[in-house]
Amino acid sequence: MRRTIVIPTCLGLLLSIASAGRGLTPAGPDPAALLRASDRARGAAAASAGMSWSLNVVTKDGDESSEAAYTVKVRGDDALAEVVSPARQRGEKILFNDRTLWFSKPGLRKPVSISPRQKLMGDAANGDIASTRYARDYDGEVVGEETVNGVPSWRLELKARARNVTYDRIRYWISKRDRLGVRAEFLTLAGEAFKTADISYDNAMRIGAETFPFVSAMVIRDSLNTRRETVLRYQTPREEPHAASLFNVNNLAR
Amino acid sequence: MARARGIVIAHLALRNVLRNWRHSLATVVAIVAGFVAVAMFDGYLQDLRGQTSESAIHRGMLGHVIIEKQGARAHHFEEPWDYSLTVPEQRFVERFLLPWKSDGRERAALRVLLMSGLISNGRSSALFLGIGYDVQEGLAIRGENWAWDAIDGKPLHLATGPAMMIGKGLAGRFEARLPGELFQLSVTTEKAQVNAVNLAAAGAVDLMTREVNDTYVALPLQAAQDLLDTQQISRICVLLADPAAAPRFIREFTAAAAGEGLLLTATPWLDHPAAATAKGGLEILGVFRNLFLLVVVVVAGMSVANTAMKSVNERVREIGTLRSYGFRARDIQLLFSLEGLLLGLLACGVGIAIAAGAGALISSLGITYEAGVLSTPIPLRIAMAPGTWAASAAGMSLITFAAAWVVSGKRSRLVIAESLRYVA
Repeated sequence: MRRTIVIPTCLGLLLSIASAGRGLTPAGPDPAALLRASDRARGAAAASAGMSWSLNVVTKDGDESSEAAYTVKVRGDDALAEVVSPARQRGEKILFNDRTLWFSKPGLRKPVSISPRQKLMGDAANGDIASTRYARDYDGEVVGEETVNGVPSWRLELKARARNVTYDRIRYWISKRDRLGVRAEFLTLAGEAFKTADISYDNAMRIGAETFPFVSAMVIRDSLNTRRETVLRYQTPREEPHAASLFNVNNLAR
Repeated sequence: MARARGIVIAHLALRNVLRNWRHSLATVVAIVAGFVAVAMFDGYLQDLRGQTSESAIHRGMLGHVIIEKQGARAHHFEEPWDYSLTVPEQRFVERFLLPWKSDGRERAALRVLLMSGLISNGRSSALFLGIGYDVQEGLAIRGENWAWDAIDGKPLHLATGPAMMIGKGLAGRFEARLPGELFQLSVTTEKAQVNAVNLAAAGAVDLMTREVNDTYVALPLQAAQDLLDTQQISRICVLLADPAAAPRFIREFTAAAAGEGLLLTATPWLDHPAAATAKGGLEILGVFRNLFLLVVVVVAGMSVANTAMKSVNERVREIGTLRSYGFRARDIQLLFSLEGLLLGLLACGVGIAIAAGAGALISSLGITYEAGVLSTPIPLRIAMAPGTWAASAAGMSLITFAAAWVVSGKRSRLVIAESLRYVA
């Protein structure tokens, strides 16, 4: 029997953990360093014991639109997103254990694993994009310089290190000045654009004594369905310690 | 002596039937009605079986035998790649099919890759369940009747450039302009990566079932394998020159696969889940038919028994007379039973004429009807079924013979003097 799981609009929250760092090879920017730096500003800061933020997701498809809100808790490779609104979905949770996704909701006795096929669809696909861990999962090469949304950027071609990451290839633009990922194009195996994400950084995150720019919005568009657009707004990001047990799948349904 | 007695009894029986035909009319009518009902219902079922086979084997490109990995039927949806045929397994099947192909016993072997994902035309999107298949082999398996399988646009083998077919329901949902409207198919590959391809829809097909039409996508096998980034396939559908050779094919294939230690199975199309709807429908109709047959047998049997009982009671003195001429009780029973048998045969002859005429008439009227999950009205046709007619005639005659034998037993054993004095 086929099982369909409607995954709440929220997966766009999880960010890499790769440690931040800056580096330039004598010949130019070091791609790995660029990726680590850009990941930090999307939630992959080497944050100690955890981070939290609120996430507002608005999906527009032509004249129709829907909205949902989540709280997101991150620790290391793991993240937990819980639906705050709409009321009918309140309490639904999505757990990211590394690359494995689990879904749970009130009344469900055991969490359900979200299959790769289900990650194709709408919100799960958006979550996959928002939680991409560029530094950990991809090898990069700086192939040029371009201006994206008025921001002078390095253009990188990324190739997946392992074959089990969702996208095999990504085009990624990282701003020259702040080393922030401003645009990503997720490609098909044939190299054609499948989805695009534009990212802005109007938030700030303070980890210990250091404060750095933090993602404030991500706009995800389909290459074919241009009428469909998902906007993820990140609010009140903060360092916040979380117990490791919070991210244990066995505790998800409790 | 016994032969002469038999001839006399048969002669008497025939004479009685002709002389008392008015008394037997009700019985004849009951048997004719039962016979016609059974013959027509069976003719309808035979035609439906034919349509279903045609629809699955040729139109649906299932072939007569389906080769796949052991366990694929139960687990393919959850674990598609663990239950698909690897390249060495495909080579083994090709080697096995070689002699069957070379001597013409195999007409087509269609490689099929099942797939699912999301289809979008830029305005909306939907889930799809589709197949990649060898286009030319598909053409061979569909045969002349179904070579043109497009109800809108054109078939895949006539498409110029990379293209796909979509189900009638999907085409309606997207309000697709065919041929040529561009769609994007996105899937997760064998390695669980996202991949997508843009393909024009050459045409729309009707796979008979609404549920299938609402999700169906078909594209050339190579395009499907590129999309899923795999060399594997899900199954091979084999069309045999002689469908009756399927059991032998399956036996030989199973032995050959086991000999090479491969976990492969070959399944007759009707036992495969892809034909589950068809099989389920036919099984339900089969149950109805058997129930119906039971009712007809009971009604006809009771009617014959009732008429025979009346006839026997009215003819007790005749029984006494015959006994006084030297006929034994068993001869009397045989006489009444032969009368019943003759009535049965007569009624069945009339029944065959009516069933054939009515069946031909109904089939020629072009009546169609909607059926459950099917997307296309089914033509109401009654097949000519000589086998059924013969079996029904034999069955009905046997019933009439047996019923008359049973009810005449008691009277035929009366003492002769008592029989002669009997007043009804």
